[in-house]
Amino acid sequence: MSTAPTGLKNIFREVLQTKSGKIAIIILSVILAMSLTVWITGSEEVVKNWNEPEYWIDNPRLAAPEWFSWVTGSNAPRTIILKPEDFRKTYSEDPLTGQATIQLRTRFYYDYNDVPSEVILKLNVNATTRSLITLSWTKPDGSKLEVYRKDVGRGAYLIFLYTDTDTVSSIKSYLSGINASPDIAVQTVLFSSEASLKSGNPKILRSSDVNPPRPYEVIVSISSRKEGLSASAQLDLLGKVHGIAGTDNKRRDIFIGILWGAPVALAFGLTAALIISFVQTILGALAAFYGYRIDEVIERFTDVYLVLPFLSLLITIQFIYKTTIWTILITVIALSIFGTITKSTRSMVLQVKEEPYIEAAISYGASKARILFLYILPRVLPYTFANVTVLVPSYIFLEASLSLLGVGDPVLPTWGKLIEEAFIGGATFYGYWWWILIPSSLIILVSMAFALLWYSFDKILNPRLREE
Amino acid sequence: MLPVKYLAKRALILGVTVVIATYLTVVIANAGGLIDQILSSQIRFEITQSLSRDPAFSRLPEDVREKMLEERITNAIKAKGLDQPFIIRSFIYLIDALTLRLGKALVLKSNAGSREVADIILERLPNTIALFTTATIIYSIIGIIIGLYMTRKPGGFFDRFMAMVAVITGVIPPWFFAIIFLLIFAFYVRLFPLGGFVSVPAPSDPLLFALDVLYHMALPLITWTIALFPYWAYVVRNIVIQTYGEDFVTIAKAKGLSDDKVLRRYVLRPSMPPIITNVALSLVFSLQGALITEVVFNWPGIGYLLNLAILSTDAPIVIGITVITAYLLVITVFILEILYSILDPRIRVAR
Repeated sequence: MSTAPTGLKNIFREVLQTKSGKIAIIILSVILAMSLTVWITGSEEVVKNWNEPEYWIDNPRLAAPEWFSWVTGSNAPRTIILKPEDFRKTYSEDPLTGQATIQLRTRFYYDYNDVPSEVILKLNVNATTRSLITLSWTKPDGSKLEVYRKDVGRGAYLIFLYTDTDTVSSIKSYLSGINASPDIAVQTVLFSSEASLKSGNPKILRSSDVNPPRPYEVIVSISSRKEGLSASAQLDLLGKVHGIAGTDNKRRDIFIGILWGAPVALAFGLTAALIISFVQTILGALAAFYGYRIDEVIERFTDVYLVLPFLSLLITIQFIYKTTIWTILITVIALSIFGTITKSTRSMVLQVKEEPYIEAAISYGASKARILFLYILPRVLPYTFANVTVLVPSYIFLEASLSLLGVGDPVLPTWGKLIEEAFIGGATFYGYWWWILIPSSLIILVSMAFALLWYSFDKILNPRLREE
Repeated sequence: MLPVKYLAKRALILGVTVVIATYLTVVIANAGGLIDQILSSQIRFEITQSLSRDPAFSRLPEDVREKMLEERITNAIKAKGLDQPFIIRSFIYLIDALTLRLGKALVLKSNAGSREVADIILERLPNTIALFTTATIIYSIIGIIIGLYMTRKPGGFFDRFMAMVAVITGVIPPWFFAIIFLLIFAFYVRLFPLGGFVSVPAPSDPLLFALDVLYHMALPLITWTIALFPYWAYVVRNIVIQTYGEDFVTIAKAKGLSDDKVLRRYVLRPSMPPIITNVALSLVFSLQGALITEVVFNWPGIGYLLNLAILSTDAPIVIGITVITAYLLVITVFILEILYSILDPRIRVAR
């Protein structure tokens, strides 16, 4: 009958020799490297702005990951951003009336099979009087329409072309002008050829549909009194796919959330698991080693802790005090000082204590502390490490479940928070799979790595369970 | 013969455990008295509001108004017993809880409109039993069968495969499966509803109503079973294999008994106690439902109620559910100890 190897070093070496141990170490190294890179090189700015809607305005809402459009071959539109420097500026002045006009002109090639999810015009107007803004839109087939006409004061404007009331009415009058059905949506009108609109069967018009390929052209003109007139524009054609992991309903890049969630998840899970396992181990060892009063007290506390409704209490505390993730960590540890590991360590130490080498140590006068910490604890430590590996994922999931119930860290983007927002945002109801599956698969991957590690520990520490 | 002295000592210890655990729950669920302060200020606010809307009151002189207001507030606070310091009240709450006088809820009501905590809990309990106790029974049985099957050829393909599945699913909580299964089987495949207890509007025919509830129960039931049976099978397997290594099994084998007889007489019997303990405790915990899984499936059971109670700081409900579970738990443990002291000669002699 084979027996379990002793000595931490030997056990770690053996764990690394098993297949599951190797896979686990590879996965964990990748995640750890990712976390460290983010921790060291990433800018804090992203986390600070995680809950700021303005910061993410240039991203599409609820866009699937980019690779998804390769997989399905759908050629879904990507985001095109036409920055102020992409606009050519021309200035003209009418000396008689004192009116000036700034024309901002830009062009872009559009070759996707679908319309952008949104078109946003950002406008900055500086003038002494009110100014007239017009936006004209020329398609590759040469047809031209006026999309927007409004008289505005100075300031910064965000015009969501698809839903803006002025745009909608301009489009309506354009449609009635060409004798097409007035109910066609703005996005369809903007990106379909005039001929197809007239025929009542609108089809998307790509730059490459005409020969030679021609771009879309957008002209924004601003007219006002010439004194102090200046303007700049930016046009965002937000796509339907974005980045590696897509975006959520607040336009945030989920991949960034995942990157920043990794160090938090690992730090939370590892710290909780390590501290709790070691405290419980030491208490269990103390109880068994000293016996009598100490044993009685520790045993009673362990029973109480095992009856306490851990999750309810944790949620209650978190709901009332709404603390950060690091305070949650302290609460979790405080609620798990005693537990099942205390019990299992106690019974193990009761056995080890009777072994001849301990008797020998007592006979040559080794101190009690020396016996406990140098002779007994090393024997139970491998089991503690096995416990750590199985507890890490459970604490990562604990953080996620607190987030899911809405009592997680209020600010930090954690994996649990991503899943919670996806769940609340109806990802399971509308099928935004990337929003929920990508953060979930990361959690599963990490948990799987720790589970595999635990499997190898179990295999090595309990060889009796493996025998033929 | 029953080891009476030993059992009496155990009963006392378990009793003390329940008392301390309940007291800690009382203190934490009331946020160390913070909830009482919130209640007091709520009463103050409501009375001030209602009086200021009263035209007769506003015509009174300033000092009379002030006095009247204070009087009403103190009376209302006294009526709720909030004038005593929390430390005293915490013991009153403790004794009430331990004697199962669960009292009235602060915020929540039962569907029938009752404020009694007992009514609110009892209204939800059947839903939780229907789902989670059933699921626990199902996964326990499946787990025992598969676990025993794994011991047929330890280290064989099936054993290793199931062990791997068990280890991986073992670290993933059921609510996580719930979210993924909702997305796949309810959203994409549309086999099941997206959570809830019955369709809206609920069918009026009782048979159709029952079928509709079953239809809503199916996915949570399947999720709970799939999430938990592999790990349980692994536990059963390990318990049984551990027994296989005992000396008396080796001797039985050496005597030339058939494998079947060895399994039945010498392996299964001594393996039963830990397996029964596990199942019994799982059944007790199943009455508490599953807080997060119920939230995910929108299932109106005890777990869902607990979450609702916590998020509306309704301490009496949290305490009520906790104390009932604690009692059930220690009573189960105690009954099992009596059982084993009768069944297992080793325990009988050791004490």
